[in-house]
Amino acid sequence: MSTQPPPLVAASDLHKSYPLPEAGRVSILAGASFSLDAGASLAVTGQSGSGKSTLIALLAGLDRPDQGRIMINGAELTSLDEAGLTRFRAAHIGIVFQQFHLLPHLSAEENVRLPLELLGRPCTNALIDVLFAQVGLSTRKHHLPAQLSGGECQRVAIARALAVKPLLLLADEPTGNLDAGTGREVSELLFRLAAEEQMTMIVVTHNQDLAARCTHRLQLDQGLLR
Amino acid sequence: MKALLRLGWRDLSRNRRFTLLFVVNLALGLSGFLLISSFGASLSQHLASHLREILTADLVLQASRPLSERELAVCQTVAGPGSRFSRQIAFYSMVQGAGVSRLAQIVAIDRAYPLYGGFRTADAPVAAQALDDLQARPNLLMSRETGRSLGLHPGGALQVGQASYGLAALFDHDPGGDFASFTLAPKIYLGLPQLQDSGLIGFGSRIAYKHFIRLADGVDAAEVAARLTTALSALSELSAEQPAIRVSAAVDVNRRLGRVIGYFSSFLGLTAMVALGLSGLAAAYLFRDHLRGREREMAVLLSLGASRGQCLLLSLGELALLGLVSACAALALAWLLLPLFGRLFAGVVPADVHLLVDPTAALITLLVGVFGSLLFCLPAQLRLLAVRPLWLLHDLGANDPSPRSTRLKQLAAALPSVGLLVALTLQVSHSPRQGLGFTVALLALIVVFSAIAHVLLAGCRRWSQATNLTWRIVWRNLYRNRIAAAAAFVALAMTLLLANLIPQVEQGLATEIRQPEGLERPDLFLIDVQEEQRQPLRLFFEHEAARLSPLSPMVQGRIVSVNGQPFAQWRQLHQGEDDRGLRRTEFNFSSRDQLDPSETVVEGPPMPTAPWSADGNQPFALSMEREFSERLQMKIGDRMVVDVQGIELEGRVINLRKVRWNSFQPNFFMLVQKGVLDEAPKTYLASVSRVGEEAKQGLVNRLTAAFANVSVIDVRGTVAQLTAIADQLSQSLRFMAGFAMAIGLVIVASIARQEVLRREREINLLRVLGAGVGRIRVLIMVEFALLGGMAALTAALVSFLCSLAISWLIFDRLWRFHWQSSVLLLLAAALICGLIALLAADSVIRRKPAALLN
Repeated sequence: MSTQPPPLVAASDLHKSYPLPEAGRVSILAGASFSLDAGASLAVTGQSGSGKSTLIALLAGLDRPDQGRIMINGAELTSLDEAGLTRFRAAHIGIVFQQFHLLPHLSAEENVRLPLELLGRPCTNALIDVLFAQVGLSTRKHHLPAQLSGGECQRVAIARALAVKPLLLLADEPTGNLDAGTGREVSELLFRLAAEEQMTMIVVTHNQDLAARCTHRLQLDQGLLR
Repeated sequence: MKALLRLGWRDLSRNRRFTLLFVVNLALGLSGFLLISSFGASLSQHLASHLREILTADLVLQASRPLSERELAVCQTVAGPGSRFSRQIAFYSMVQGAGVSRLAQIVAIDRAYPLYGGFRTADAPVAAQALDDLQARPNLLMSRETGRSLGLHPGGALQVGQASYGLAALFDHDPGGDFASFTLAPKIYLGLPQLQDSGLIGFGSRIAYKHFIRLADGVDAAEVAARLTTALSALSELSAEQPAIRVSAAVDVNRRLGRVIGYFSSFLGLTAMVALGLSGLAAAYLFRDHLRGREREMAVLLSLGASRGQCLLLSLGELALLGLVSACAALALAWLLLPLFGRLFAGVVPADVHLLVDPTAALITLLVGVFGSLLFCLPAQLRLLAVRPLWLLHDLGANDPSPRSTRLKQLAAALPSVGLLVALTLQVSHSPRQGLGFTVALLALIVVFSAIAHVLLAGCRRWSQATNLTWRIVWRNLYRNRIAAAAAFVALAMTLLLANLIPQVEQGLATEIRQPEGLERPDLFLIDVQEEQRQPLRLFFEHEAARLSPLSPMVQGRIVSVNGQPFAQWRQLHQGEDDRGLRRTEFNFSSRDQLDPSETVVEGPPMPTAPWSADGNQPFALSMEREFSERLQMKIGDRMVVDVQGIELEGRVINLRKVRWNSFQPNFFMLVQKGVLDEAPKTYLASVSRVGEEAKQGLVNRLTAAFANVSVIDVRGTVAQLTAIADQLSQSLRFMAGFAMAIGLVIVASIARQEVLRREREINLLRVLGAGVGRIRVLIMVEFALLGGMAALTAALVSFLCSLAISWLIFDRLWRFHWQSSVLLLLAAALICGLIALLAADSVIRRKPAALLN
């Protein structure tokens, strides 16, 4: 009898609320739960303000839930301290932001090297070449973000997220800032690379086409994943 | 780590304008401190290495009488074998050159003088033969300048008292002479054996008898001075009627000169601290804004796995690097400016002093540059702790106002930089009281200006309903950006306050020195008038157009005891550290029928009109100058026993007077009741006024011809000397204030730039909606000109109050506000601020509004 491998990501009963400027709190997540196996992809959709980015923040260890547990590859994120979370994120999680968030003073190559250098891992030129070849930007390595188009910036951001070979790739509206054509190219790239690297991916998106490419889909509604 | 280093370096090199502004600003602030510290240190070092030349010996003994054989024998014994001695007699007297009479200090020397140093012309020592001839012939030496003023050339004759002396040689430098910037009269040297012929050594002449000692090599001068003082005091106790002999060693000269240099450099140093304080403020502002722009980057780094410590390290490393570069720039700037500083003080400091950057001050500058930047920017660093990578997913963070708790923390984080400023202020002021007082005043001013700024800027909201679009936007911008505008306002107001105060103080000083308000400044001052010359002198002036003041008697007396305690003991117990210089026991006493207009009784009843009788048992009434009483720690009712020519008399302080010494009228620390000095042998002082400049020399010549022993001081010449010194001090003050102002302008430029960058989107929107580049420029100019104008107006009002306080405390409540300079500064501040803001913002204004679409 074969044993079912544990899911790579398991979130249970996540609650998160934020204080309002005047008084009281607004509840964003109210018991959201889900699990995701290694190599699978999940699209989280929902209306603006439904808590999609909050969910990504909790999964990335950028924020902590008020209640509930998050397990990633057997590690309980909620039990890690700030330094532990940082280390875990650096080693196992790649994030792609809607607004790319490349460091403006570093070239595309330096931006991609940065997570490896922060981790203290070797960063060979060969690896960089592979990464840039994967995202199709071999000729633009030495350009600054300001010299790249939006789509190119997002490709660099994807290369940066993949540089540490993360277990989990989190993408927050990865095509939200791009035109339809470029968005399609970027999502194509994202899914192709995730498949090649056998990465687990969670994508938060409004884009129905993007969501349709994922193996799993959940909708956030009134703080719950359905 | 390498990645962080690269990131830091890249950040600084890409943000060149920020880096440049930060470095220029901090370098200016630091170089002011370095300049003053190096100047003071160079001067001290120069004096320390020339102490023997200043004193012309290892030890100097000075008395107002010749030393007895016994005392000289004690000196020789204590000084020990191998010591060399020299003797000098000095006094003031009128001399007559080629048709010119003037006061001179006659210095009769023996051949051994000077024991260190020598008489030199510009390029060689004065010929030994000329010095030998001084002893054998009726010859004299004087400076080239004195020769010119007396119309004499070598070989010419000068009348000193009853004898005529030949001018043997002219010198450019005399022993110890380079260190005196103010002299009442020039020195004229003659040989001791030739002095008797002048007939000037007689009763009533105030003569200084000096003995110079050069000790054998390796003998500790300070130790010998102490032993000599003890031995001579023991002798003096045996013969109590003998006035004391003062023993000075190089260490005393060092202390005295050190104190003078200390006052001088601490005054300038405190101005430099204003500059440094402002530059710290500017650095904090610049870095705060720079960091604000980098918060998102920090969030990215955190999201990529950098620890908060690494982010903090990155920011601290950048700051330390900026501080180091600033300190190096300050070192270079100080090195370049020090020679200029020497020129600024030409005449006040010795000409051959080598002004070098002081290694200790340079080290402090480097440390302050590196660690000071960290401290100044500590409040800004606190924001880093609040950066959350979560901001990358939400539109939160960077532009959120700081919560109250964070503001309190930021305020607390500012305390170490205040501590640093206090420490540096103590270092430059050499006085804890001055240093703390200054820092408290500086902080109080910052608080006052901040409060005024907030009130004014909050008031801008009221005017933001103006119908004119430009004014509406300008008022609204000032109101909306209150915090940044307040920072610029405070910096500008502080520097403009300095700029406003300097002319006010200068004006007060100049008025008081040149023409004290309400007083008639005399042209000449007469001393050593003998009892029998009183009537002839009055008759002499009846035939002159000039006016002779009432003659004031002057008697020298020795304070024996105060309130029953021997004076030496009283002084020891009651005098402060600063007044240890007041070591003499002999003072001049006088009495008056009525007070001079330059003095007023400020405490106690007026002097009794009835004369004191020696037959009664009552002490005589004594009026004391207020500051003198404070120095001696005496008050009304205290008793004092005075020895006048061997007769001890007891007096009681009945009132305290305020004296305006700058009146140049005959004034005294102590006035006694009429009748007390009747029997005492005395000389008289008087002043002469209403003498035209052209008639002055003729009058002096006639006076000297008629009264050879009466010394005539040219008050106008003395005032000119004092004015020249005061002018040099003001110049140096202006120089340092210039530093502070330059920093103020750097602050305006940086704030303008940051503000415009922050409003880039808004500016682009205005342009998209049809506002031309010209209109945007007008908006920026008007906004910053208004800010500068408001700061200048506030600074003028505060300086108005400060100058009132200064005149109340220093210039005898005579207050005159120099409004012209304030109006000029107001206009200049508005214009310069507008222009600087325009320059700083120009590149942003000229960007294409299409950026709005990206």
